[in-house]
Amino acid sequence: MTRRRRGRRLTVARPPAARASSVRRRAPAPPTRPPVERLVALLAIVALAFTGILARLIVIQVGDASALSSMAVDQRARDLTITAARGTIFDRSGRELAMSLPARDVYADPQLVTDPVDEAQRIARALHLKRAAVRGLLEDRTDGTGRPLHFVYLERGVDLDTADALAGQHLPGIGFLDGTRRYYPAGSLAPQVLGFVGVDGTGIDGLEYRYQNLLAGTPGHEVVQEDPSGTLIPQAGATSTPPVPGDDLMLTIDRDIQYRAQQSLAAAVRRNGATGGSVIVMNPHTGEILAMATYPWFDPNQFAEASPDVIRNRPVTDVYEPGSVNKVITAAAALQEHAVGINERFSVPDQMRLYDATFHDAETHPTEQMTLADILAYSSNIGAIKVAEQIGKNRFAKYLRAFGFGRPTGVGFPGEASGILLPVDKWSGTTLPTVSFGQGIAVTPLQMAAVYSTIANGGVWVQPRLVRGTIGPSGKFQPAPPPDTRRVVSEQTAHTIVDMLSYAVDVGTGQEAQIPGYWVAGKTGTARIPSPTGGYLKKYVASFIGLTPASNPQLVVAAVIDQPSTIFGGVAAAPLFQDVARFALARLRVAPAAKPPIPPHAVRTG
Amino acid sequence: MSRAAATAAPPTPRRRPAPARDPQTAARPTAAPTARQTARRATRRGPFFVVAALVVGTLAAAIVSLQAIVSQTSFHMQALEQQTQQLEQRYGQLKLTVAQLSSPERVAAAASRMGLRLPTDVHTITIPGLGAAAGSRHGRGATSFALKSILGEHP
Repeated sequence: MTRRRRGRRLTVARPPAARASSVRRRAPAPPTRPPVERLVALLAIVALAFTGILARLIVIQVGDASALSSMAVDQRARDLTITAARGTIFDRSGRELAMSLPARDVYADPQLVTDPVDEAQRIARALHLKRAAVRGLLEDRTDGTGRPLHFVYLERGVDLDTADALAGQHLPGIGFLDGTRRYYPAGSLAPQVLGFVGVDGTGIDGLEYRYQNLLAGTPGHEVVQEDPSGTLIPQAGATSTPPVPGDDLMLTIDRDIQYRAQQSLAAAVRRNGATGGSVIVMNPHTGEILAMATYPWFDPNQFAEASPDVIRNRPVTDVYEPGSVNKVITAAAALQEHAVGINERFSVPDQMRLYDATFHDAETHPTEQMTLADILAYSSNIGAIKVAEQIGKNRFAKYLRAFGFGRPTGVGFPGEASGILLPVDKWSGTTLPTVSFGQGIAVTPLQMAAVYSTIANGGVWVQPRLVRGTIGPSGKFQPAPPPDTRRVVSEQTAHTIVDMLSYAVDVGTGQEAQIPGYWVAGKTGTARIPSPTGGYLKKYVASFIGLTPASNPQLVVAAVIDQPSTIFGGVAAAPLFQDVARFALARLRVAPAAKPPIPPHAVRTG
Repeated sequence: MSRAAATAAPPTPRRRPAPARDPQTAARPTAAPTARQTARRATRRGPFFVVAALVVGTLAAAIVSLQAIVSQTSFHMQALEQQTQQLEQRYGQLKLTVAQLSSPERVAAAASRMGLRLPTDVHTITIPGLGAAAGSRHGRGATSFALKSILGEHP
């Protein structure tokens, strides 16, 4: 060692002359220079190694460059789907009925869960779930085919605060996905109209379903690059396509009138021991539906707990035999066709046999002289039959169709029923008399409300509608297209019918619906429910449909009660009409109007 | 010997001529730089290396600083975006809270708790001779316009 160090010093630090003098003083040192062959060999090895590296570099940088580059991008890049904000549903005054907020879906990879018992307890506590259910999901590590299970949802639509609190626990195998959650801030307000949205954000029922494409918007995409720990790499060239939020929907529904209609309906159903009911409040001039209630209802925030029966928007999707409220069409057709004079009197017994059927009025009475106004006021079935016979089945059927029976109104609601109206050539001998007082046909409550709106609107049928317009991402309100309209009867005929309906409320079966000062024109209905096996059950639907103020109609309200203990519409449904109509008149600041004149009548009142 | 001479550096013109050498030492490779020459040469190159190192170092530092600033700005933007997102979420939650608090069901329940109740007996007073409302077919009893002149726009 010492010698080597000395030799190195001699070789490097001292000049050749000094080395020569040393040589002279000491014995000659062995040569330290390596042989040339070894140097050449080393050089060759190094050159070979560098050549190999260079070759590999060329292969990587040139030959495999694109493949490796894309592989690297695949490892770093993550394609994120940015959920588009679902549009809000507003009432007619811009108050939220349905809105979406960001939320998270919580999932687990059971293969990565280390302590299912402890984690299940923590997750159940945070998400308010049953611990046993969560534990079962965490411990079930295989799917149905025996393959390892790597993904299972624990809960969806978890609000952000709760999700963040759970994420802070850093539980192994628990992950989160971005999503949204639909809220219905008014709770059980118009749930059948609004419908609801599934856990994946897709409208399932009601207007949420009908306007899915409009409300949903278009999801965006963002490709970001992350390091192995999941942190975003800045300036890594992220590309993004921003989401397009869904349009907002503004309904014709008035939140306050809807609430009052629902409360009044619930009270009426309870008061009458009924199984359910429905209410429609409508502006007869614009066709706008201000309220559409069905009882029983459900909370769309917890739609999974609702039974299928309460989800249906029955005023639109279900049909019933309207009963005596249909006599308004009989009377309008008779007047419009001049089949009956306004002063004409009919001799009306309490029952009548036609073909193989015996028809009768609701109550026994001696044979009475009745005008058309009396027939409506006292809701005489026999009188209606006599009027219909003077109209004739072809002309009568024409008016039934003109008033909108047998086809959907086009209100824009999924699953709207057409009703049942047989073609005239399939009418039997008893069809005309039966239909004249509202049996033997089936309509939706909405179709029937549209009939009374036609009368209130001076004889012009206006298509009902639930949507006022939409609000795009720019915030601009786009009104819905104007509703379809068609004239059904003359204005004079409509006004005469209003006077008769007003008389029916004033002295006839609908007195419970009266609102003094505004005055109501309307008609009661009591219809038997058809049996699925043919014939009729001993169950009834009671209804009252009317308009107010009678001399300047601003509102049409249809009240239908299913299977009340008191079968008559004047008792079961008329008070419901009054309650809802009175509130709506005040809410809309409708001015009182004059009492309509009394139409020609023959039955003595009072 | 000849190889050593060939590798010797040629004398520069500015140098003084070398003094006469000892014949014994003349056979040594005189062209090879001495330690002193090497040291002097290194001394002359020193400033160049220092300046070059300074320039390169400054440039490197500038690039690193620039990158750091850009990265920091990017992180700051990211944080601001997150903050914006959080504030938007908060705004949405507040909107939801307002909508829930103003829902008719909650308001009615709160009013009921405070002892308020809906009127059960409502009367509409008709003042004869105050004229008819527009649109009324029968021209009597509709009093809103006349009443407004008496009681104001929202009596």
